Amino acid sequence: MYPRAIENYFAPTDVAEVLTLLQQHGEQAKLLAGGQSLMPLMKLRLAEPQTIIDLNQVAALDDIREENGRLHIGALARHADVATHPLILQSYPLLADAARNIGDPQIRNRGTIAGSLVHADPSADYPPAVMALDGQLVVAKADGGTRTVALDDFLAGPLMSDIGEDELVTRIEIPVPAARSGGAYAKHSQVAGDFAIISVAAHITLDPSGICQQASIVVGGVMPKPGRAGQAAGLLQGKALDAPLLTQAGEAAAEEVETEDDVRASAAYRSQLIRVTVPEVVRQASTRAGE
Amino acid sequence: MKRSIGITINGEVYEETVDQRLLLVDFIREVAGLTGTHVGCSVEGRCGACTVVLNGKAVKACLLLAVQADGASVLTIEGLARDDALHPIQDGFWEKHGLQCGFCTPGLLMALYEFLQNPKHSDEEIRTAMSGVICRCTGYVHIVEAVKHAIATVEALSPQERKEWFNE
Repeated sequence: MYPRAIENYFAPTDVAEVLTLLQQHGEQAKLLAGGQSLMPLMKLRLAEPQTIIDLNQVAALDDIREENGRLHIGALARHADVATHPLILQSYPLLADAARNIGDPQIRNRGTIAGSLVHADPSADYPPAVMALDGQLVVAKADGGTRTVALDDFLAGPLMSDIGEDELVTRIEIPVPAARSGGAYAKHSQVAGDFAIISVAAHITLDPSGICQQASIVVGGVMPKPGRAGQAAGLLQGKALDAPLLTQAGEAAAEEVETEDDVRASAAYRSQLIRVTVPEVVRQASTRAGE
Repeated sequence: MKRSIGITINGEVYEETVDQRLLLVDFIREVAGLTGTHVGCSVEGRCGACTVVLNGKAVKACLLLAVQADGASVLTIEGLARDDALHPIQDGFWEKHGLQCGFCTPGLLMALYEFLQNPKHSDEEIRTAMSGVICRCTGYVHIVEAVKHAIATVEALSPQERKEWFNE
């Protein structure tokens, strides 16, 4: 299997140049970041772009830093960099967990965070993690404007996201968590490195006495996109996170998140995995919050 | 449609005018004639047989266009040994029988090249480092033994020797 002939290949070196190229070639063009999803799609001829705009030479699109109370992750930050970055390991371990779970080492050396979010595979690792952290995408437009969109709204469905032909995601922004916050992410897959049968991301904030002040739980591997377990998270608020409560939250999440049969697993098996995984992940998140 | 590029492979520059859709793995095999880099699954980049080291990082050469590597430096299996001496990672596979048919071996060695530069690793980390290459013969046990042998060899190297073996 081989990609269709590529008429134009561009390797711009700054964002302005990318936007100009998008304006000229938008309809026929695909942005190529890590290529770990796009290249297989091109080989299968499910994507047949005439024009490739390769983002890998664009400068300063991969930095990771905190600024004005928000974590900025450049669009081109590789999974391997997110998985090992000291700031992320320290304050956003949930993101490092997700990055570490993607594919295999070679894929993590190439794949990018914005590429994964724009690709919008419902079983991918980043979307539930970034949703649990209330992440947003900063999108540059060819007309010079920018917009910011919550990942919840950006994800439209399986392999569908709210990105225009003349737009480029330049970074991901995540609010710096309150004190005594912690997060965790875990997934179940058939073999190492595969997409999730289900995955669970949780982010928890505790008060000084260990009572849960805020909780968010997001389940991946479900259709049409990762789902928030709002009722399960609501159960945790204002309470001490003891074992019976966590079991109850698992039950609630399994009840409220709709699952479907597919080639990887049955709906019933998915629900059971949600039931047992939510308590484990919330427990790990609250342990980290208390550290 | 076509583009003139130059890629340094194992220290030698290969210049060619290529189809823009040419995959890096086919540049290595067909243009440079270095057929030690293998093509297994050929579609989704799952098998890892085509793994090479691109600018110091292990990547799957079937998931990159050759034009993307214009000006880059690539290390393939042919670039590992020095004169008559096997690279410590090759020697580990030789000593511990880390292969049967050998089809995945070049990809596996290149996937482990970056990993072995800092050789202090747990068993779990060894298995994670191998996870991007599928072997259908060995059941992986001998491969883990081979990697441990290589780690011991690399740890015993002097800083100068280590630099020589890992200086692309």
